[in-house]
Amino acid sequence: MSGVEYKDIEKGYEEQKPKQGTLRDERESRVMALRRFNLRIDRGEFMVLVGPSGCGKSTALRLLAGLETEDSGEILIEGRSVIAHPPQQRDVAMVFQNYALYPHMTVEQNLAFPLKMRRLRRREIHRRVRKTAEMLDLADLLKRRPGQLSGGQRQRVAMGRALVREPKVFLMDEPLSNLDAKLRIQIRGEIAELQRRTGITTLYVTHDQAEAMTLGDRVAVLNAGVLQQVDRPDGLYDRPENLFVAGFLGSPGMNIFPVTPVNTGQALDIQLGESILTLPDDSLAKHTGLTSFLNQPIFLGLRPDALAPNPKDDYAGTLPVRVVSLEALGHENLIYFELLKDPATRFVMRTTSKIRPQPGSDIWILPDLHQARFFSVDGQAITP
Amino acid sequence: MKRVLGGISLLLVSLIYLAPVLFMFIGSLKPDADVLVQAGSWRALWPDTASLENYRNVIARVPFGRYLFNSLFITVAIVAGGLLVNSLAGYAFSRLQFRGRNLLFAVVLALMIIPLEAIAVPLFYQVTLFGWRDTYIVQIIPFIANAFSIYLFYTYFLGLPKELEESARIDGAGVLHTFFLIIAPNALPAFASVAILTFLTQWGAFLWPLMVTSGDAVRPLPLAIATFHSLPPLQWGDIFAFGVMMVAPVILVFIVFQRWFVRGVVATGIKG
Repeated sequence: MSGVEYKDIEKGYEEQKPKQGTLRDERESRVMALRRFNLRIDRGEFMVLVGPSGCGKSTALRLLAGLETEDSGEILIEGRSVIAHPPQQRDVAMVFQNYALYPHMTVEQNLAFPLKMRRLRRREIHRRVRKTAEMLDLADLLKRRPGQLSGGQRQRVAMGRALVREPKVFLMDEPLSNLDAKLRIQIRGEIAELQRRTGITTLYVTHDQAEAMTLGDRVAVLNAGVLQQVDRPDGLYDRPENLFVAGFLGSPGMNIFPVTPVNTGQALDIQLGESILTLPDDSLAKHTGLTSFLNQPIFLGLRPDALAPNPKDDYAGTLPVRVVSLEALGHENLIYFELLKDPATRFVMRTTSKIRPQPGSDIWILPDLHQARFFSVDGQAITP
Repeated sequence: MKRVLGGISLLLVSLIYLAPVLFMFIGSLKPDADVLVQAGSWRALWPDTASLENYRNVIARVPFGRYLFNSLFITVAIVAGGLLVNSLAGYAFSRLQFRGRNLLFAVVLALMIIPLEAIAVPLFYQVTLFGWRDTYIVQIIPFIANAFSIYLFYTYFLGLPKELEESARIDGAGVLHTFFLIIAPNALPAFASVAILTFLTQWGAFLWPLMVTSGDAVRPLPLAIATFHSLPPLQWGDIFAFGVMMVAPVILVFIVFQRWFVRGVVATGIKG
């Protein structure tokens, strides 16, 4: 059964632009935040909505919370349409980016507030507040006010206030973005653990792909109001359905080379500049779709880890490149390079920290075409 | 050296402003005969003999307690009613979406520039029609809704994070719960500013009470001191004592709320 379902949601905003030379006359134009947005989140699932700033991900979350109204479409929570219901009747809880703790209340009062609003008995409120405080390690902080807490503690109080109600859906709007890097990783783990324990359907919005990949049971990628792909993290990484997803996920993103499939007898070869790359026999079955693109320009996508300096004396299937720069990250190196024959675009490969070519030097690299992904010129993945 | 000079000049300037108040306070402690005689010299600021005789005279000559109660009752009622009505209005303008909001708000802003004197006469006709003359209500109701207070609340509420309200709504609070339990407690400086400004303005109200009241029963202090002034025998010591007794509550209110007031003024960006 679905925990949450978005059906054909459309949402736009009036954008007021002052006409030039005057402050009074304002033209209104509609900017679409979400277009034909369809997403199904299973009950108990941890879904992460990821995309660049302004892609509509927070709008999707706020629509589900009832803080904004959709232009058209429907939203279901556990099978029941909620579009006519105000936020307080949707049984959702939300953690805001700035936590939105009530500054004048103690931690205990903050946790108790949603329960008081639901007119629970005092004893039940007390029991649930204690339970939540213990679960989140807040028991010693109950008498403090938000202003007396550290960032991480405030974050946990915000989580507690959302959890204490035992809602049907848990919404999180970039809840880690105000924390420093170390704390972010720690709390990321805590959130994942907490969600597993409580089993509450969760929609988590972030622009940070590392959060998306580590937290989500599934990840939905959104760009310019259009849902690009929904899949498990490894599926998104290995099989991006379009160029946007390929470039957005992974750090750094996928390298995209302009290539042409050519038929040189038996095998299907890929022409990249003046080099000819041969698809391995065992991966031919994955790329039968390429036959419809023979001698047409397409794109070859290769993750930085699918490239390595050529270790052999044999230069077949390798690319001559010039090293532009090197980023040493300690446990690995990122080597930026450009094609010798076509230096317009910069690419990157990931190597062990031992490999350190000099910037400016020319080397041969060997792409692992087992990991190749092909895209047509309109950006869509070419599938069998 | 620079700081010392600065301090001295500040002291001199503040003395110039404080002089009338000091003159009134010290005069109120002097025997009536000394007040005018010493007025032109430095001795005006120094009592040869100090006594509370003038204060006793005031209380013996007029029903001061009655006037004080009237002033307190009217002012506190206006402040309390004003805090409720104007804060709710400010909140509605700053946060709620409703048809005609911008137009209505523009009208409210426009009202700020209309002085009471301009509408006093039509207002007088109106309250006469209601049969409200010579009552407390006629001195209270017209001053509860106040455009400037609404504007102060409006700007303060705009500065509060929207997420606080959204969070409260998701937590199950309706509009009024959100306002009273979340917004108002986080806007105390704005409430203090409005309270103190309203108190100061209304405490000194003169024209309107003069128009709509005729008897001692509901008249406030500013009218009473004017009447007292013309009540023979003319005794300046008594008048000064009356003045001190009239000003004391204002100073008290300011001292109590001063900390909040300053924060409110800073936060709402108003200037004194």
